[in-house]
Amino acid sequence: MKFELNGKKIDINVAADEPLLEVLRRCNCYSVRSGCDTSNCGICTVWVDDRPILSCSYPAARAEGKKVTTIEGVPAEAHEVMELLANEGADQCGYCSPGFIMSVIAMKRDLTNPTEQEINEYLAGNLCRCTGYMSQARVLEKLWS
Amino acid sequence: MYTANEYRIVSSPEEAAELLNKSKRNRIIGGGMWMRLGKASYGSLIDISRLGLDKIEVFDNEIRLGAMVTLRDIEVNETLKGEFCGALSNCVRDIVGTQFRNMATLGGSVFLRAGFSDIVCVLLALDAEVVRFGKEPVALEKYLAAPRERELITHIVIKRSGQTVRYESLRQSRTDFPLINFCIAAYEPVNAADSQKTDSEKKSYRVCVGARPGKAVRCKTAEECLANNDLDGAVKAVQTLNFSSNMRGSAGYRKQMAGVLLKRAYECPVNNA
Repeated sequence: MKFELNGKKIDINVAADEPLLEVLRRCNCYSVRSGCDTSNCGICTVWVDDRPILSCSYPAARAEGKKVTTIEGVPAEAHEVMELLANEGADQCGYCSPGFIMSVIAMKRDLTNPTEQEINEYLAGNLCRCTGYMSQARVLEKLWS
Repeated sequence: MYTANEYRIVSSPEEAAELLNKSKRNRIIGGGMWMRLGKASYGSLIDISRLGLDKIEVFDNEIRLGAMVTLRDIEVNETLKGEFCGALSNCVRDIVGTQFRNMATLGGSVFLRAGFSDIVCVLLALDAEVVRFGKEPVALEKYLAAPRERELITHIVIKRSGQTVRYESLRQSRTDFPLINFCIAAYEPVNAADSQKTDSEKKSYRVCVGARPGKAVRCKTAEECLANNDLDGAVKAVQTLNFSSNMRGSAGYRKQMAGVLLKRAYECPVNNA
């Protein structure tokens, strides 16, 4: 399968039943992690053609010819969000952070001046079992201020 | 998790149909969201994502949605936001998360006929039509009642009849499966003979209840009651539908809530539009 990963052309053999997550980890993108493995938690979020998807459920072979972006592909934007997360104590165990950050950056690109409800709806698919979400809410407020 | 021997991205519906008919183990893959949660061993997975079935086409008298249109496409499409009182775009908003809805497809949702499906309940109220490759289009109501067949759904077509639509669902928490869902669509008459009737008599209704937890069904008795302005009768009628219990709610609770949702939907704004 040929695809573009964070701006680099990749040519790799994939199994018919292999999820994209496994392939990305084989390509050394270790930020991409499996969480619930049932398409619910958002930890494995990456972008395919700039749309956030769940890489644990996305058939790898479907990415043929597509552009895949992980957190390694958006270092400047990721750093901005990461710094805010750290300052607000919103990255406790950190396991969900890459997926959350990818969703936040996608949301920043997708929505203009979103309301609190729109933000909550957009990020409803990203679960965090450490923080209780208040610290993330502060991050998002600062991100738009 | 499933296993598969081959993943084939097809370039035409003919190729998809031929491959599908080649072996009972071959399967069309839509978003693949629920497929991966089951345990199955497939021969060829047939990927139809490059057939141009991801378009929402708006015509004067109908809206044609490709089978590979995602739930997120439906949610954010500007035309759909303003059509059918926004019921179609709103009904998908609580389905898991943005990433999930970027993958889950309309065709997959219809083919799956899951009881918890929000969108199937709304499509049933909208009297949608299922277009299958090489077959006659069929009303969704008939499609849902028939046994599942090995076929390629290409489009879902909804007539623009000026329906007034209201969708309601109950969830234990947002993004969870609905423990019951409900959709009501009010139709203005096209029959000239009806023009002599009063406003309230003119309307006809489609009343659909899903997540009973079985798949969505119409309640024709409730529809007749509403057409005769008999709201209490309609409430009683929806409560005679077949409800069951599961971990999200008991049959009794669902039965009560079906009546509540009907009243809520009927009073605002279906009957006031």
